[in-house]
Amino acid sequence: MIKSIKFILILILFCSYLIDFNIFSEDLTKYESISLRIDQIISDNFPNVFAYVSVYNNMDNKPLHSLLKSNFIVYADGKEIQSKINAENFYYTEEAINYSVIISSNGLMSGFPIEHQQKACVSLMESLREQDRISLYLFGEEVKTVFEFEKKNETLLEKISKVEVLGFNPRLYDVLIYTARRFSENKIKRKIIMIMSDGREVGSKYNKEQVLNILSETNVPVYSIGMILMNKNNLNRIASISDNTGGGYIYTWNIEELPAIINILNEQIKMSYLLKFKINKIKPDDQFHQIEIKVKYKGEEAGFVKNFIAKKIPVPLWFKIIIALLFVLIFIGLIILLFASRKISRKKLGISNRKCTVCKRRMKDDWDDCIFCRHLKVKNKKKKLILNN
Amino acid sequence: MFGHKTCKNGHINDSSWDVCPVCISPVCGWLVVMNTEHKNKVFTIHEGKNKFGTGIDCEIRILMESISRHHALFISKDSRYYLSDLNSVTGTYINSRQITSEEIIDNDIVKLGDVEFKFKCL
Repeated sequence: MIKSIKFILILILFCSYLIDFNIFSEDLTKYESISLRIDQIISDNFPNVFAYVSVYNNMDNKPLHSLLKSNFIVYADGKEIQSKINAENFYYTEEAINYSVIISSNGLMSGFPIEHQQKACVSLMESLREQDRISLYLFGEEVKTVFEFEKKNETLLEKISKVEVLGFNPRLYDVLIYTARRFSENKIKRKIIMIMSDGREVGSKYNKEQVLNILSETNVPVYSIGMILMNKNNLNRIASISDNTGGGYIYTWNIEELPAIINILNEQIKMSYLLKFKINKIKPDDQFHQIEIKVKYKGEEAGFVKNFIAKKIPVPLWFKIIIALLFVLIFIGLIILLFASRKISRKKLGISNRKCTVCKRRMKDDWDDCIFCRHLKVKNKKKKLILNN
Repeated sequence: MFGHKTCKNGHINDSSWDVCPVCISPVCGWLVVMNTEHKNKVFTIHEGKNKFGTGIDCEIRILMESISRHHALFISKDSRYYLSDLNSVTGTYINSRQITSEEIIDNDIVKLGDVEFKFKCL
């Protein structure tokens, strides 16, 4: 009896040892110091795929600048792709970014929180490049557009300063769907939604599932900054949206930090990598597939999985029209050629337009009378003869 | 589709003709080649007009170098036969005599260019 109790105690001690040293959670610790996030996958020109990838240090959320294409491994539907991966630092591509900033302007935010959100927005606007665009939306009881797809300019500062409280209930899901839909009207490839919120959601027409579906269809990552005003219970809501869409998430107790946090996130966005590769093993079928991108750097490893659509490239309308026109022209040409060749061959045979009035057959020009009528019993001739009689 | 229609005897027809106008005409004689590599080849002559030459509109096509496109015209009318030259380059001869238009009778030797024929009537 004592022996068995001893054995159970030893077993319990051994198990606690394993748990303490995280032997079971080895995979989780593997990704501890660096993180990778796939912001956006562009597969409009499938099998050529572009992926915007942010790699950053977990300690300070600062992006890693010095990665090479050899640091990245791409898996498509679980299989490593064989084609070359081209990795560029996004900052040097000078590609434009289309930011949509969402400010939480419900009643609880009035005063200090809304001021710091405005400051964060101004701070982001100041860091914009010439080619970037910015939009600002507010949400409370309703969703309001302050400005849309604007270049960096000073008149926006005034608009930002006039942000007002819009009722009490924050319609978080509604504003995300509204913003994602507004993006579809803009041609800039890289799209970012940045939302500052305490995570509360009251009275939206849409639910979380619909939000995630639409964000997935529009292929926009949501970067969120969680503000802890009363408690942090609601922050999971925006954190999970960011996780699902490939955006970053940082929360703070100190609302004064909002401008600094938005700059950290923006730096992650700007200092991301643009990976270009070709997926040959998947056929374009307009279905969702999975891409996993891993990064290996100084013995550290991080990865992220995201869905993308293997888009079938539709045949452009102008190309269809050209092909149809070519077919019509070839058809008309053949008909013309047929008639022309018949006319030419008849001319060579010495036949013009002369036809026998009785049998209606074409006659050679040098025939005095119709040879067919002379030597054949023609039905028409018979009929005519009967009529004459 | 774009070529010529030919009857089983090799006469070139218009695509709209269902029967060959040469073949339906009754036969009235023959021309038999007497020399060249085509010796003993027989050309059938039908009632009415028979144009000799290399052209595709000729009822009797003789594809030889010395024959013009429209060389001669053979007409059979009321059991009498006439041969006319159609301004050919090498000329038309009956019994070694160059002619422009003359009646022809059975066993006459007709020469079109370098080619000699014997005419046999029905």
